[in-house]
Amino acid sequence: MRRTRGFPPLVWLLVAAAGLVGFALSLGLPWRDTELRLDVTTRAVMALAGALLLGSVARASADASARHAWAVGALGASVLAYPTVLAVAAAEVGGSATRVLANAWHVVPLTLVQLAPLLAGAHAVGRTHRRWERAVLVVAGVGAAVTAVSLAVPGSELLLLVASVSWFGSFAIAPVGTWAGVRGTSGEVRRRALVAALASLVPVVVITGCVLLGLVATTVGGTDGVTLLMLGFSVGTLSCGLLSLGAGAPQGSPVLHTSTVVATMHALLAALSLVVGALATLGTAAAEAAPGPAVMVGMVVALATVLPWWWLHRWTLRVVDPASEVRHELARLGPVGAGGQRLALLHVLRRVVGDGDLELGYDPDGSGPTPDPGRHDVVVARSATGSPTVVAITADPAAAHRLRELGDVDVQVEPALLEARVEQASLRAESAAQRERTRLSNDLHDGIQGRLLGLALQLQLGARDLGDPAAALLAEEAVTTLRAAVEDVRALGGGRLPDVLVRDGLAPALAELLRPLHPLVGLELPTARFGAVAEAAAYFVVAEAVTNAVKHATAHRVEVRVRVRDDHRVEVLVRDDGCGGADPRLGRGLRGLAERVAAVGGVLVVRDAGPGTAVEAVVPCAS
Amino acid sequence: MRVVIAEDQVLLRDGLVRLVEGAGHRVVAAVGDARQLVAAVNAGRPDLVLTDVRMPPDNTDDGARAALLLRQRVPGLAVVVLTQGVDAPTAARLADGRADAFGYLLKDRVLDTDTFVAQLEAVAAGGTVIDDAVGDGVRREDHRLDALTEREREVLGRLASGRSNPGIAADLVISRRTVDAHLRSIFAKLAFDVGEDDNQRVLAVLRWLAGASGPGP
Repeated sequence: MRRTRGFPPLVWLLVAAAGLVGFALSLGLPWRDTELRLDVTTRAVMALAGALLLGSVARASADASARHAWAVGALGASVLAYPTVLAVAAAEVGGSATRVLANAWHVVPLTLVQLAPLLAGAHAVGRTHRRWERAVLVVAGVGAAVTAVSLAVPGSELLLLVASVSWFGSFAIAPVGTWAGVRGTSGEVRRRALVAALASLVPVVVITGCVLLGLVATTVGGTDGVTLLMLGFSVGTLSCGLLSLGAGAPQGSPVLHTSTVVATMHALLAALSLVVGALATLGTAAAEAAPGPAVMVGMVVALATVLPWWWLHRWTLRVVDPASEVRHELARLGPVGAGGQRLALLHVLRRVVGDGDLELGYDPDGSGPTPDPGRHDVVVARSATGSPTVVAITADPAAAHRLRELGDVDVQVEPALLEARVEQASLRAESAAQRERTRLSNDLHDGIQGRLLGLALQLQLGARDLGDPAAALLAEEAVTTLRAAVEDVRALGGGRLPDVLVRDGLAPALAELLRPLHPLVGLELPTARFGAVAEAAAYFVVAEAVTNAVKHATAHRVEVRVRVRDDHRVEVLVRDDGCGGADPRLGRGLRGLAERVAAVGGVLVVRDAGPGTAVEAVVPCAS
Repeated sequence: MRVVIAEDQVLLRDGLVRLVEGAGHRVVAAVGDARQLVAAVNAGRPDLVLTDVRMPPDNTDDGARAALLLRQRVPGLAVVVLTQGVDAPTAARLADGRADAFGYLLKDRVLDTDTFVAQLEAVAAGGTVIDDAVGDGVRREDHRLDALTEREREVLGRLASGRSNPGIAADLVISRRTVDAHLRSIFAKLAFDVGEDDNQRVLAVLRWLAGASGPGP
């Protein structure tokens, strides 16, 4: 953001004072112009609008030293000077020069109401190029020159018409330029850019509205339309200048609250309703209707626009704060139980972006999932260091686009991310615990077994040399006892991870484990490795479930399917055609299994599947 | 025969030394870790190595790795691996494509002292001894084994355990002639070239191991 040095507040105040003095003096001049009539009140309102703008710039210039503050200051000065210039011209002081000046004066404030929002928007989003501003200046310059020529040369009304049309057409530049800046922004920057964009629209809508209302007033009541036009001009420039300043307001200013921005958008939409109503009235009046019914038609039409306006409310909210829909949907879900945050977020995001197959990848440390450009992955949230923490995986370009438009949803994502972080930590702890358990059990079993075996062997060998048959018998008995103890120690090691699982992974380990049941069991296993903890959990789930199926359910066929899902979870499914009736509440084995799966952050479901039972477990992969 | 024993548990190691020496063999070295085992084999030129799987320095499968290395590097060296738990893939890995002069047994078997010594001698003589427990995991993985009858597979399993023909006959309570008939049938079904009897036995055991370790290369 390039900053330029602003005037000290005092300068703006001096300009305001000088303008007000000039205005007061102009009140004493006689109004001789019969074509253009402006009463004192209207002129005072114009001067007041200019003075207010200057005062606001003086107040804000401590922070707002950027270019748009200059533009607003200049706008205030030109609006404040406008009634004075008009009065001087109307008093026919200074001849044709003042007349031309008065006729062309509106070019100055109307150029500035475009420049100020453009500069404010550029300031808000850090835009450095100035092509929009240049375009406005070129069009204004050409428009002013043509107007001047057409005024000086009699009979060039057509030229004046062309100049006016191109001049009014140029009013699209500022809205287009400022709205272009809104795209792709989020949070407060977005709201600043939006305020600037609104600032560019407000004068267009308000002045157009007032012109139309003026025409209505002239048609219906015979009142002077110029008064309304000038009032609209004052309100329009004042709001435009204030909004432009608001776009550069200090951080956290109430002007930048979501509700303020939404309210401003609604005010603008309301003004549009009035414009539509005025157009309807004019149309009806043009069709030779009486003034009364024409106004009624206009009012009805204006009211009718309220309905679509209400429909636009959601759109408005989404424009101002794209994350609002996510927030709203999450709030509608109510309190989410422990462990359900990620599911809730997934559910909501799927709905909001309209992609039922969307998946979310979490990486609390911000070191793992990188978006795959081959798909349409979108980074939903980033860590403080800027690395992606939540990545949405989608194959749908439209959904990806909507996800990108969501902007800042860090706050909404936080609970789910926290959950993922807790799970990762517990997985790590479980992984460490598993390692420690394996080590301990290895040490314990090997140590004890080796010692018992050594003892038994020594005893057995020693007993050979015993002459006493009774002692030999006793020694033999001791050896038998020791042998049983060795068997017991091995049996105790039952919960140990098989070496083949640790070394070669799940598929070879399960193939080995289930080989005796080969004709009975259908295996569908991934060849890739996916983390020791998840592998161990999957191994024990399959082992227990298949054992149950064969032992208790007298199954003829057991299907085992293990797959790694896109969301880095391992899905284990064991399904048999046995007699069913398995329930984790009843079987100690299944309950132990459920606890084991829960300990690694997974879920175990046992359900009846037609004939037989399906045991289903989903376990997160350790990273 | 000359034997090197590697076992990190002192009590068991001493027991093994006593057992082997009691059977009239010479223990040229008894060591407590895998590195010393390799050094002892290089220095002592033994006929047979008897080693534990889990040993220092890493306390993982150092002994098994040393055994594999020795089988590959020292021609004619017989190796018996003692292990805490048996599994067929490990057996196949340690056999390394040739089942001769190779043993793979549960540690507990040392308590059946006479059988154990006989097994050691069988391996030293170029035979193959695979623990019965490995056979528990064998079914019809190799489709060539599918052709075998249940009885023939029992015979093949015992053959792999290092039993002699009379031993198999006694185990299964059948006559020696029946065992011979089964073996001929097995060798024919596994489509080995008719050659020397011992060679066929080794090939059959290898096939059996391959079947036990899943669809391997």
